[in-house]
Amino acid sequence: MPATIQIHEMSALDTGADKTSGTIRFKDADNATVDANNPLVVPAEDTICSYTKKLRPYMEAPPGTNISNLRWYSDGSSGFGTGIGVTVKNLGVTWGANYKTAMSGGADLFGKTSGSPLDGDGTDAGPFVPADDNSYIGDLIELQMSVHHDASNGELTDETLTLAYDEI
Amino acid sequence: MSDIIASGFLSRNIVEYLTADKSVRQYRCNTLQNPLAYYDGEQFRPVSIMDVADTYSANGEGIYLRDKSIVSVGIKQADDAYKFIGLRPDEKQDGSEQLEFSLEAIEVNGKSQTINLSTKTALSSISTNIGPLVVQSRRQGCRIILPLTNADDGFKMSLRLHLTGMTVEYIESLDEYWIFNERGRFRFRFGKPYLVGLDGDPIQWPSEEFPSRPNLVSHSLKDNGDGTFIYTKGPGPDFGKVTLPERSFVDADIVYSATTDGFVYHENAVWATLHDAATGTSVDTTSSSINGCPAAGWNGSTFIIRRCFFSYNLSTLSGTVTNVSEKIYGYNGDDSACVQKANYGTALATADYDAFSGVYYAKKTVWDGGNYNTFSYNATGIADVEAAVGVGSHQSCLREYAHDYLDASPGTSMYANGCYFANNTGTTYDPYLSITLTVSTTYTKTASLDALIQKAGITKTVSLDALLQKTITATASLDALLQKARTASVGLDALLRAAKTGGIGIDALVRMTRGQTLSLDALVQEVKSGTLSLDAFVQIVRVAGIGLDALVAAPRDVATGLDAILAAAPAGATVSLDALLQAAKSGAINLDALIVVAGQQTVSLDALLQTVRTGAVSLDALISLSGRTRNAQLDALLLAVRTRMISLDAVLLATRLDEVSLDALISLARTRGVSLDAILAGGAQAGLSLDAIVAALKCGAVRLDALLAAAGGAGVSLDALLVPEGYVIHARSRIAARPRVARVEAAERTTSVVAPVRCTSVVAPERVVRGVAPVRKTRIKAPLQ
Repeated sequence: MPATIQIHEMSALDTGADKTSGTIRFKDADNATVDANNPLVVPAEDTICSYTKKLRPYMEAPPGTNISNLRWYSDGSSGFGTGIGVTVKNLGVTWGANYKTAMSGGADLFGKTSGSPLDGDGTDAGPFVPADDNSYIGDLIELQMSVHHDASNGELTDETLTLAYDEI
Repeated sequence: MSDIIASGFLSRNIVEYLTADKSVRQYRCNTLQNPLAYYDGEQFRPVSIMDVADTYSANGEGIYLRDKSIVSVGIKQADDAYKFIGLRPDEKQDGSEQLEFSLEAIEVNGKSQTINLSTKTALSSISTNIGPLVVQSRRQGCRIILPLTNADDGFKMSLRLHLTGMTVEYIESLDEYWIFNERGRFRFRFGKPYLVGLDGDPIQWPSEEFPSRPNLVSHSLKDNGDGTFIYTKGPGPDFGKVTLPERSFVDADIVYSATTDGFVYHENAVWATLHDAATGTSVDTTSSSINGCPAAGWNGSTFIIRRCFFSYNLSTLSGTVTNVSEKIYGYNGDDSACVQKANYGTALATADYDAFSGVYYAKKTVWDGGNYNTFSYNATGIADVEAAVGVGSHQSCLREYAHDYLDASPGTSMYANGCYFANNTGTTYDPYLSITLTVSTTYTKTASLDALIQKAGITKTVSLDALLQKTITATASLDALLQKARTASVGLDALLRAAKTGGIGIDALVRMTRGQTLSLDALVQEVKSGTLSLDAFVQIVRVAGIGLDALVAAPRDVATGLDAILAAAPAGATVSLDALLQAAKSGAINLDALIVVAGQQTVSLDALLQTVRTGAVSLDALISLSGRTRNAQLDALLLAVRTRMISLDAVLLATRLDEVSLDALISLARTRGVSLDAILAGGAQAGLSLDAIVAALKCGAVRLDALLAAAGGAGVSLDALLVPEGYVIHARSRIAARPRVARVEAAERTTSVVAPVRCTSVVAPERVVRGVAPVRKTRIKAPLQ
């Protein structure tokens, strides 16, 4: 029986909500609620940033042997449109409050593809075994959306963030 | 593997088995020389070499076809030696690569044999008798065999090779001919020639007599230059040195694999020398089995060692190796043996005698001479196999353990085991690797990313009142405001609607504009898409019938006179009309001031005059201001009067009634180059009598001299002045005399001009009749006096 691994949107190092097959909405507020409140407002000039989002894999059901090679990636092509960007980086296992100032470091999410993914277990390294059941595994990753003043308004078309792992 | 189920072939030499745990898989890996499956164009299927189809070739000839193998073999049914056998790789069944044979000649004991291929009899499931030949199709290759009986005086078999899509190369180190396709991929090889038994194995000779197998058969290949080659087998250098068995065979041994297993033999009287030698005495890659390999011992006259080598291609595997067993079927013997890492390249050679390294993977203290001997690899072996998984080949060396591997002299004893090689027909005795892999499966989980994006203008409540107020107080032009609205993609309609609901003054403007015939939408659209100036805007509003006063007053919702509005405008200021209008909103500027200022702007004077005409503006103020303090283009004014809708009588009347100095007017007309005719004509059209004009002149204390001078300078026809009064005649005499005298004086200067032609030519009688001639005549004669 394959393991069940979930994608959690984190509110603390070891606290989060399952967003597997769900939606992670970038907002002008630090919460995980997917609603119309606190939208990102296109600035008159320059760029604004959303509050950061932190994600981490969660082992809901154990593997037969182990889980390894956690990695995150996109399809490599942003459908968000002009002026919208998403930056991503690996935080290791160090928690920090979410913020809306521009993220330092990080890389373009859409530069992370299945062939060149963001490493997801560099600090909290695998393999993750059945004993890790019901716990968070791998590293935190942090994402942030930026909105440039030339962006268009509306609800953005969803983009897919993928967590991949090997299981034996 | 009894508890597992074969799930399919991974390649020609690897079959896969699944266990209950799908992440754990087991594979049987044969050597490439010993295929398990062939490719049928869609997938790998198990080799079934015994299946024979009675069918037709592409050209309609009847053939016996064995095509359930990695190479299909077709045998022509007709008695025809030309291309009587054809071979095609399984993946090239379209004939783009094929090797065909024609039988050229057969000689036994120096006598040519009759070639009659009409007889085709199945000798076994894999062998067919074709006239004097036997064709044997196996998994490993195809043999065209010539049986020999008492051929002590020699033999010869010549075959013509027809190659399609392939080339041939002689491998000297192996004494073999290898055939490659045009991309350099191995296809076939003609194995080293031997005198063989019916089973295809080289005939064994006592090692004491021939430690290196006697070379009884040679082969050669001649290029005919026409795409064909003659392959000939004949007696080798050792032929005649031995007594041949009564029945033996020579064959064209076409092998399908470049990789071989087999053994390397070496002997030496000194154990240490033998053991540590780098090169063996002989190599055998043809035998299907061997009695006495691996072996180490004393054969009665010398020490001998036989080392077996196997090669397994694992490039199509993937996963993590957890278990490896090498299976080698025992032919005979019960001594010890071990396997270890080998590295002998593609084809085994004598130089590979020492092509092994490292510690053994596994050993057996007692060899099983009648069953599979299983060597379960240790961690070293597993690591070596894993290194080859997905990459290439794993090779092993099977050695006698107690003496060869441990390098212990066997004394006078022989320690030998026997085994089967890949060349053995069937699969029962195949050497192979049993590999267990744990296969990791990649899983993915996804989440969607999105956001709501809003434009700031949608949610913010901007006070247009404040905006306009700010515009006014900042003296920003409305043009700029409109331009800003356009570039910001703000609908001006929306802006105006907001203004309307905002209760500011501009809503009155909007209402008024909409009340007229002017489409505000159109106006706004124009403002949005272009660079419509406010001047133009005002013009449009005016054309639409909106009084400018009313327009300006409208924002304030009071009936303020335009004079009052304009009063606030600073005289002579260079402010824009925008600013002026803004100022008008807050003050009481008189229209005079407006006109003054407008004169410096780009406002059409026509429009200005029209405004004046329709308004209650004092024209004296206009003229007074124009003449006194302004740089107004009076010529433009007069030109407009003349050509436009302004009534000159109105102007003159206004001038007279208001006692404007006509001197000033005329003076201006002169300096401006205005035709006085035009003025007078205009007076006539207006019904003014000359009396009135003169009266005006008198009343105006104009000096007539000045008037006349002005008229002359302006090119006015005096006729117009002379008609009604003697006063005018007097004036005419005075006016006419002066230029004539001047002309007489001029004639004196032309005394030298005596040409009679001129006298003759000035005779115009018509002029004389009119009473002008005497004057002219006198003057003409003067020079003659």
